[in-house]
Amino acid sequence: MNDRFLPQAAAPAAIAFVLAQDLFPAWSGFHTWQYAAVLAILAIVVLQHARHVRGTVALLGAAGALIVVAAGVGSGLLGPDTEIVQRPPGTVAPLPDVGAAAFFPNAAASAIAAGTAAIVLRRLDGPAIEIGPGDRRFVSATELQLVSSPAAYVEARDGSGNRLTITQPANPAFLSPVLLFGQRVTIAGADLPADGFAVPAARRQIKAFYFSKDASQRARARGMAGVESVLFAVDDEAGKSIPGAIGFARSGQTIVLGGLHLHPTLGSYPSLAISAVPFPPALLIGGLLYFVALGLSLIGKHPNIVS
Amino acid sequence: MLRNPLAVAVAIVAIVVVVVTYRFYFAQVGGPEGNAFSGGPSVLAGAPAQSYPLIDLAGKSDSLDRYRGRVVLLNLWASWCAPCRSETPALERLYEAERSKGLVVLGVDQGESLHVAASFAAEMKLHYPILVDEEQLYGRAYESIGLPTSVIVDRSGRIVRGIDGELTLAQMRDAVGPSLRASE
Repeated sequence: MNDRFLPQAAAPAAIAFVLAQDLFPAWSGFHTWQYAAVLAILAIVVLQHARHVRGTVALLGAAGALIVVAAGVGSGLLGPDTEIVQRPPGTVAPLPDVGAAAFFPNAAASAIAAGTAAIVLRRLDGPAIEIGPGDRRFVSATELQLVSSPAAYVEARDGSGNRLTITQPANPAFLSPVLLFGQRVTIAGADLPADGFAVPAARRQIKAFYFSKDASQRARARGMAGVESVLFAVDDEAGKSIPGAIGFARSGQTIVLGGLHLHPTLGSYPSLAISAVPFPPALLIGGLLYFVALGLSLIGKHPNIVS
Repeated sequence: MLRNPLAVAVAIVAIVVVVVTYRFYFAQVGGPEGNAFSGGPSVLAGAPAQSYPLIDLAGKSDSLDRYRGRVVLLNLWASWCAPCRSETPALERLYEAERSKGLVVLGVDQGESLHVAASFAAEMKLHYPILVDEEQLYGRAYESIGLPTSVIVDRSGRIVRGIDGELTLAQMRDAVGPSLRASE
């Protein structure tokens, strides 16, 4: 390592730090002053090096790196933190800052079990974009990605087998039979996703707690250890517990509690993670300038940025 | 600097990119909306009405789409819902009075079995079409925040307005009147 290594490495290091935002957009560290400070220090080193080397090519490379750094600082400090948009199936979430609306599909029990639901993004100024499980999409200076969360499609029936309406008075979708477990509850030291619903025809309120395989293994629930399941606790309409009306059900199993036949189908439903990323045109222009300068420098016909 | 056109060009590009990036991210601050509680059916005005194939009381396939070309009062209800029960006679009177002008009242039972919906319709002597929505698809899509929920759909299939709660006959006439008159 010679005494020029650090100045020479500053520009590619800065570019790499910025590109890392595209690779790991959800990392909260990009939105801290420390990250901006590192980029600022690297920018100063790049400027100093450009002044020392002089020449058009060095200036070109430095300008390119600085443009990339500006885009990185912009998305890091000014861009919003990663936000998770969770909506019930069948609803629409307006995303004015992305210039789009996210359509969350109406999911039947089979779609919840398969975990294959895709979110469709409709934009005023462009074609619709479908974002499926594992997909990443870039829209202007945001990266959109699906995050799968546990979900349960619940059917409730009376003793005669009649299907009963499920309501969720405390949730955004009043008439949804899909539980998204958006709350957290600690039971016996275990932090569990929780949700609740009502069956007005039977005058029942039900609390539901999601147990992953690990959680049920730790809880050592009878017959459910190591099995993904949901714990139902049935209350009357005044919220008073009904004796004995608490029990686990695995996916596809019907359990009778408080006179209700509850049948959950467990699986997952997507949320939309929205992360700020560096403004793509800035990355493109800055990166192009830097790599053109680097190429010219390596050819050796110009005052360069690598020596 | 001025003696070097390339340097000037690079400087201008850099300034433009920095300004655009800065302005862009200031516009971004704020995050997405609509992640809290539903705005209810009233926020849907102007949107295309979503339709899902269901069964009617005779067990035949039917959906909202089949009534395109008529003004539809889509009414979401359930047999256990007291305001739904009390609203139903007015819906029947509205249907009988305005059907000749192109109005359809389309009841959609939310989350109940066919025979529960059929018993309710027989008890209330209803003649307007009723769909059985066991999976509560319409309730979710129309952002219902309670029952009953009424949604007025014009002849082109667009939502005119969505209304939460029980309506009187006069309120129903006020709600469907403009759409019926617009297409006369």
